[in-house]
Amino acid sequence: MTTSADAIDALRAHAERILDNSAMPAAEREDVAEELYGHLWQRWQDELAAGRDEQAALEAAIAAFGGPSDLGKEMTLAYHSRLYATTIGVLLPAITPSSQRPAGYTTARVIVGLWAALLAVGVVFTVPTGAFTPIRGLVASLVCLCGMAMAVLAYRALARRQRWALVYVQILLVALILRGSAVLADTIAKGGVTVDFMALVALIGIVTIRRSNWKSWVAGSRPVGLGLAAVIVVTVGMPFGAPVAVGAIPDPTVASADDLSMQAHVDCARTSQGVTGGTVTVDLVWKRTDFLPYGPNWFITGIPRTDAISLASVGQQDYSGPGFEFPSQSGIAYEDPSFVDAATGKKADADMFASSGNTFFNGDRMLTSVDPATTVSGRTYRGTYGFTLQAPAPADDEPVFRVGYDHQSRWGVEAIATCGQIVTGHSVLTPEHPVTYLP
Amino acid sequence: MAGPQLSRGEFGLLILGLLGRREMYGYEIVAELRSTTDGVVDLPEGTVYPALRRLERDGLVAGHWVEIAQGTPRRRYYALTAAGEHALNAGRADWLRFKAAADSVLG
Repeated sequence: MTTSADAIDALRAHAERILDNSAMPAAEREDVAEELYGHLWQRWQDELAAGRDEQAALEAAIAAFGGPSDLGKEMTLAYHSRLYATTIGVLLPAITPSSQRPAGYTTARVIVGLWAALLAVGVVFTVPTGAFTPIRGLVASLVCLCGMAMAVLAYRALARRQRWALVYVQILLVALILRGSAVLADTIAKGGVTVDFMALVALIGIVTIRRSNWKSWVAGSRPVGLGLAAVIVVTVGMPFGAPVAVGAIPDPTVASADDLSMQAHVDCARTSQGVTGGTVTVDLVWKRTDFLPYGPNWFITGIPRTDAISLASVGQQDYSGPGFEFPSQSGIAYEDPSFVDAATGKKADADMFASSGNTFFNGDRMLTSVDPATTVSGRTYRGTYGFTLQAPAPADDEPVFRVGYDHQSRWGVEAIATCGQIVTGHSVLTPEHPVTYLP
Repeated sequence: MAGPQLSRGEFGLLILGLLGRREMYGYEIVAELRSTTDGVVDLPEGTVYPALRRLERDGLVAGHWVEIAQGTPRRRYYALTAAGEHALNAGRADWLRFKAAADSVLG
């Protein structure tokens, strides 16, 4: 049986639920709550006066007043635009006077705040760092922006005791730990150990949050529907997947590996004991050269990043004896490379310092690059690398060279050749050492 | 077929019309609206409060609390402001013009 005290509590709770479903200025909440309660109370009194019992009068008063969801939305619209009411207003209903915060509250907010800050860095620097083409960079930047906006909302919604924000935190923590595990496994496989800072923070967060009583903290907020859950998963997951996904976006504004043809020729000098040295000749012909200079990275660093061309020996047994200093590899010493216009002999090298480094072909040495200012499409530019072997290489261990061309870490062209071979380069679309500017 | 639907603007105009007669509080507005319209306008009672907040934010009505009796919740009464009176007159004129136009079509 319902007592008057129970009924009054239920009427007050109904008024609070309506406001829990609205986004309105916190300063006005108390007044509005009192006004709604006053109405419900008077209706309840009238129903009692009409002869209903307390329970029936209570139900009638609440039914006549309207449901929390619809009225909450109407109340939000009274203070905000329709766009706000249907987006942010849903995610950030009014602050409920808070009881005691759960123990993991601060940790959860710090993690979400850190995540938002990292994504903000992604928004700002994804395009200018030139890690992607402009269009792909823009897409990646927008992905970061969406992720950051959701993180900021979640940061605020945690304080407003919203269940969806707790779900957001849980999904984020799992995603960070999974990513950290993947990074760790990858680096261990490559002989190193990289521990992801955010994954460590997430581990601490998960332990802390699991021990806390969040159920009562978010009890007053609405359940998370499938749609909102999908939005949370997508906005958390997109920044992780963006570096890979954007590479698949068709982008007509940028050159591809088809715009460059490369040929490598290895000419070896032999004695009766085997190969003692020789030259590696690389011919490059660009169908177009407009994509060559610098890229947007120039604005940030002030240093032009030309395309890197590298040479490395592959397939030879490692040499560990004396007499060969960096950048010799595998017992092979190189002479400084030079690039010239094959028809005129005019120098076409760019200064070494201007090279971006060959991140596409990880670990390759003897970097050089062609000066974009001197190159003309359709002409052949020839690079010559002299090499000397510390000890003659027998026929079954002749040196094999890889020439790698790295266009701004976006695509590469690779040619692998050994003595006497002339090999045409083929495109390589996956870097050996992926470059990721997103968190 | 569903009954007549009120837009937020029309609902606001009806509230202004009632407050043009005298000061009222929310519960009273709902009851008055129901009785004056013979139950034709019978919205969920709580919808009057978002409408009142909107009118108050727009400066068309002004609210003030009134203590009633011990143990009884106090009431927030609303009155038209000068801007509210102006809006009511303009809204009423628009409505009459629309009504005349609709009558000429619908008979």
